[in-house]
Amino acid sequence: MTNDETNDTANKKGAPSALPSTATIRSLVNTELGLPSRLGHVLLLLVAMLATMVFGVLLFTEADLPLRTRVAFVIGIGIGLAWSVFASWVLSRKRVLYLRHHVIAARLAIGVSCVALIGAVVLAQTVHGAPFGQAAVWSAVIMLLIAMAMHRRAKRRISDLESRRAALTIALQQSTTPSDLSA
Amino acid sequence: MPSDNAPNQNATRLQLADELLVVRCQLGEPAAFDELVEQWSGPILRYAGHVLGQDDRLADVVQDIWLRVLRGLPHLREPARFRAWIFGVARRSLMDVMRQRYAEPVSVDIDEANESSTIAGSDSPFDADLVIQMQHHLQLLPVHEREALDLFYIQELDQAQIAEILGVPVGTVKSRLFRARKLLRRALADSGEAP
Repeated sequence: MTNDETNDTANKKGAPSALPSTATIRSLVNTELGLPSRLGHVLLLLVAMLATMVFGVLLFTEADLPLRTRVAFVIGIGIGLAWSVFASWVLSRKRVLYLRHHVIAARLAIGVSCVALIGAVVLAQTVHGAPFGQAAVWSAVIMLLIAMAMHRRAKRRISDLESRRAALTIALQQSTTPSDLSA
Repeated sequence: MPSDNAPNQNATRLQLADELLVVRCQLGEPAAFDELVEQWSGPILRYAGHVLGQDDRLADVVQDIWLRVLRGLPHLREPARFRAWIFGVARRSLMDVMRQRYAEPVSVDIDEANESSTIAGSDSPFDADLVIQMQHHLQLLPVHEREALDLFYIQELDQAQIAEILGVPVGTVKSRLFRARKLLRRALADSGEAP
């Protein structure tokens, strides 16, 4: 008796609650593995980190800022950190990234870092000599390097798993017994 | 010539198949997730049903188990241990529910046992009757013993795997199985249904 037949039988006999059928579980799996939600939280994390970085660099490199401006930057840093923590929590607990998601996320991070770097370089050229510009450039470079390292690590892990998959497929074929072949 | 190593070869092939399925899931193959659901929705449901008994939360718990499996699968570093791992995940989810209603034996009357027998999926009238009786007495066992019996005889795990799932030494698993069989034998004898 298949799980769906079991569930139908149980329901016909008035079971207290509907047991999840295979189709229900499959639907749950498809929903849980959806890409858009994951990418949305990855983007949220990247933007929050970028905003935190910008506020932080401004706060620590700009001299003679009025108190209210400093307070505003501190609040901005706090908000950015809060969103970063939230997005990280979702990605580690709820919308866990599988390997191919890691590659996509890393590529997004590289893209955002490149945009940040270009912006920082333009800013540095515009306000030549200002510490903010240099700090922004270095921050964007560090972000880009981390994103590239994450991308390389994800690709290496995929490559390892693909090799393992091929080896397991061969091992399973070889483990077929003579009785199985004659059946 | 029949091979004396046939059970070991089967166990090895099973482990290889489990590992391959997990690796394919970790690589994100959609077909692998379909196979995962097809192969494991039944065993997970049966295990949860045997541990929880008749409980309105069974459907929610099964869905919770699957969510934990999907969220934990990318972090599984030893895919060869998948079988023990998935039952370990299921057990932790079930224990959260069990803690809410402390580990007292669940009394299941014959009518409810008739319904629960559909989970076991018997094939003949004789088997159905025996399954109903066995499940009735199984539900009366203490939860630790009931769990050990389920994992050993129904899910067909070995004692080392059960020890890993339950987080206890192998010796404790052996004791629980011994005690479970003894209690079950006594219950069957008392009810006049001893073999």
